[in-house]
Amino acid sequence: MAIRSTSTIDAGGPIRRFPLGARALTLALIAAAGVVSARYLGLDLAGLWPRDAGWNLGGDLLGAAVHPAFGYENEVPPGTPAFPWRILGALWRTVLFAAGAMSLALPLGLLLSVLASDRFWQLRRRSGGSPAARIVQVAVRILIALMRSLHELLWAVLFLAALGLNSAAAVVSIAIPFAGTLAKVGSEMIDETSKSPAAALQDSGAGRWAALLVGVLPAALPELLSYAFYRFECAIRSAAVLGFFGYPTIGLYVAQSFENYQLREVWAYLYALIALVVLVEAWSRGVRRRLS
Amino acid sequence: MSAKDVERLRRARERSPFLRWTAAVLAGTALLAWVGGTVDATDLFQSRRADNLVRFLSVDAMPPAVRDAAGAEKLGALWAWARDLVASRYLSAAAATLAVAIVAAILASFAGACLAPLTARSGPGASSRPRRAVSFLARLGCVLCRAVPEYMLAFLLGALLPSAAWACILALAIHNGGILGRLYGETLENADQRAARAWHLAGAGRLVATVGALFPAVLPRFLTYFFYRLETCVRESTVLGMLGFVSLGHWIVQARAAGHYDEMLLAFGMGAIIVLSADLASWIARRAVRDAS
Amino acid sequence: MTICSRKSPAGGIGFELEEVTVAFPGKAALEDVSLTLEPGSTVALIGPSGAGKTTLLRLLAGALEPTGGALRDMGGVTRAQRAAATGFIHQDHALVPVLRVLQNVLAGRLGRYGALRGLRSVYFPSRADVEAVHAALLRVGIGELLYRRTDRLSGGEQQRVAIARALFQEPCLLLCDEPVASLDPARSRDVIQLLIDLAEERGATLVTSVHDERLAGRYFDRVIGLREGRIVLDSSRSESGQHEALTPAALEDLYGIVRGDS
Repeated sequence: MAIRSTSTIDAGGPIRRFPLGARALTLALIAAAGVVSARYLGLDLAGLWPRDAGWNLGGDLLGAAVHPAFGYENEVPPGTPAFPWRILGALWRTVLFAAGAMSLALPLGLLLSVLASDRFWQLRRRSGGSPAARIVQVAVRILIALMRSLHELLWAVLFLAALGLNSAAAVVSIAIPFAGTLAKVGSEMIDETSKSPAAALQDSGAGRWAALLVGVLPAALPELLSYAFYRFECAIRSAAVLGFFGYPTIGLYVAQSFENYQLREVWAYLYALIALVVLVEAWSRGVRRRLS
Repeated sequence: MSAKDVERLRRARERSPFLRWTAAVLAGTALLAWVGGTVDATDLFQSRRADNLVRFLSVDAMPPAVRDAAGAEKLGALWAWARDLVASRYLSAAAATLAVAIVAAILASFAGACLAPLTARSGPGASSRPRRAVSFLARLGCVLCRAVPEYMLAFLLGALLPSAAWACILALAIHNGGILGRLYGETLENADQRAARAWHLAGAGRLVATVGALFPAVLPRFLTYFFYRLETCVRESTVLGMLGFVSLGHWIVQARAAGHYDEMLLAFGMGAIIVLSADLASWIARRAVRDAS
Repeated sequence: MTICSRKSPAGGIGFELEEVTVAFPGKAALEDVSLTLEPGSTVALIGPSGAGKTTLLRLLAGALEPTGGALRDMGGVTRAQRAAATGFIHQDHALVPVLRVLQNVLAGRLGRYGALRGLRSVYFPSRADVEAVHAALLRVGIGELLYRRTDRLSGGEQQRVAIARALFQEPCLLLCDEPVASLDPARSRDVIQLLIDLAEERGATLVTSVHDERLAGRYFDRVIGLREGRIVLDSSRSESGQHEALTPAALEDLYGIVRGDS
């Protein structure tokens, strides 16, 4: 969309190799950065070769992949829910964490994306423009960058340290960077909408907020909601990983079973997670198709 | 008369039950998350949490050297403390974080470029049955690759491989390779197919035709996606260090385990700085690619 | 709060322009334009592209302020009332693509209703609102499209939605920017006739820019020719119903080789 490819293939024109210009230079720089990085890390191919213990584990892990568990591998204390129920419960809680996070991230991200967009500040106010507008916009953009600058797991660790183990804090820790990302992408989508509907509404006397809510946001919303649904899929993955930090999502059980060397259970959990993500992906595709 | 017409038109209006159900299910799930007891928001506002927070901010997050220093010297002590930590640990850890992300993004991009001709449903002979099967399988592979979170992949690979750095790189490369395979494939689909067809008619094989005729044209788009993924790789790489290799995440885990929350916060700051600079660098690079093409 | 209506046929908004200049950075779009537009009249603006027709329309709509001279309206209304009673049919229709036709038409009254009532009316319209919109759509011949999504309509249908939106504002001033630029001759005549009828039913003032001077001469009370931001032609319909000032020589002068750029 934003990228034109004029220099290489034009309809009917001669086919040229890409010129030794900026693109070749970019490729060379990337390759050089890769070599320097690999040297810095001391990477060698031997590191890709498992040692004896690794081979044993690898063999067991691969073997378990073919025979995932359908019940607990070891004795469990009485009162433990049946294995399939534990899987479903863990998946359900993973989805709940993700949905809770998105229920915060979507409204917050939407608000911030409006405040960060150029289009909103271009809408005329009855009282005329104010110099504070630009300051607010820049401040919101900095806020968005800061929200995005920490990975959701780091937010989670921060809240763990500051507040202790708390499920709401875990949900908030996913919501913060996700709201930032939604706001960043959303403000770009808002700025890509046509100017004229809102301008026409304002010409007929509509105020700034009315012009925003009728003339601007509806045009950006389908694309933004498709993107938000994709982010929901990402939130499910993040919620799954939160289990590694003690929250009752599916990651918790993956980690526990792995520590106990119950590899067939590990695979059962992993397959369940994969199935969930594939399902959500298919759902997401359906939503995207209908929204666009 | 008019009211009847309006009612008839309203009944016949275009609706999407699928989207309505989606909205209802998602809203219901979000509501259940908050009221069903899984996510306990009230617990967040109990005095115990407030006490934790106060202690964290006033005691835990305060470097001892700063607390002990007198009035005006506090700032100097803070600076000396931060400088020593950054110089001795965090700078090299940040470099390792970046290096892992760069190698992983390059591998992911390479894997994605290899997968793209397979996932794309275009090009010479695209409508044949075996070709469609290949495309379906490749797409499924891409979805599977990105279904497992990087962190879990790295966790499993870390147990398998002797090199923790490789485990993280592979985890990132597999996940992002799946994403790029799909995105690159869509780029190929949207590219002008005439050149590839011309090559194919002139006797080039399907692969040669795709690579030779299309890749130069789609390179800018590929590069743009590469830089986007590099951003996410840097972000992920800061946390993958928690699983072993000496990156920022490693020091975060160490500081947390030792209860040195002051050091942990400094590592967070360092992580934020490299993520922000990676975003900035990627933005500059994407603009350069766009302007050059 | 209807300012003009069928009951007072001359209740449309009129204008007096006194040596009005509108200058954009580096270029004057209108220069020293003096003009009186009678309430309830129908006026066509003709002239080569870049002559300042759209600028004049935007000026009358209140979207632009004159940088020199004076613009007075003869409605005796406040600025906000004038904005709410000005229906502007844009060349690109300026409709929100995702919304239904109903909502796009309802949006025409956001200015009159104010934010809260306007928003409620767009997203949760009352039965009376819906029927009023349906009536406006029937008037422009697309009653069946009431609940359709606007971006699924053809260009001609979208234009009629834009006209219906302007009509729903109960305008005293109808402004149209090139309403027939992309239509074939038969449809062009239909649309112009529709606009004239709507304006006359309401007693509203109609100002339209058109490319085709024959359409202008045939349908409008007054034809004003603009060139390089100045009025070079001003013809009113005579007693016999003819535009005697629209001579081939005058038109040649209007469309003759434009000096300078464009």
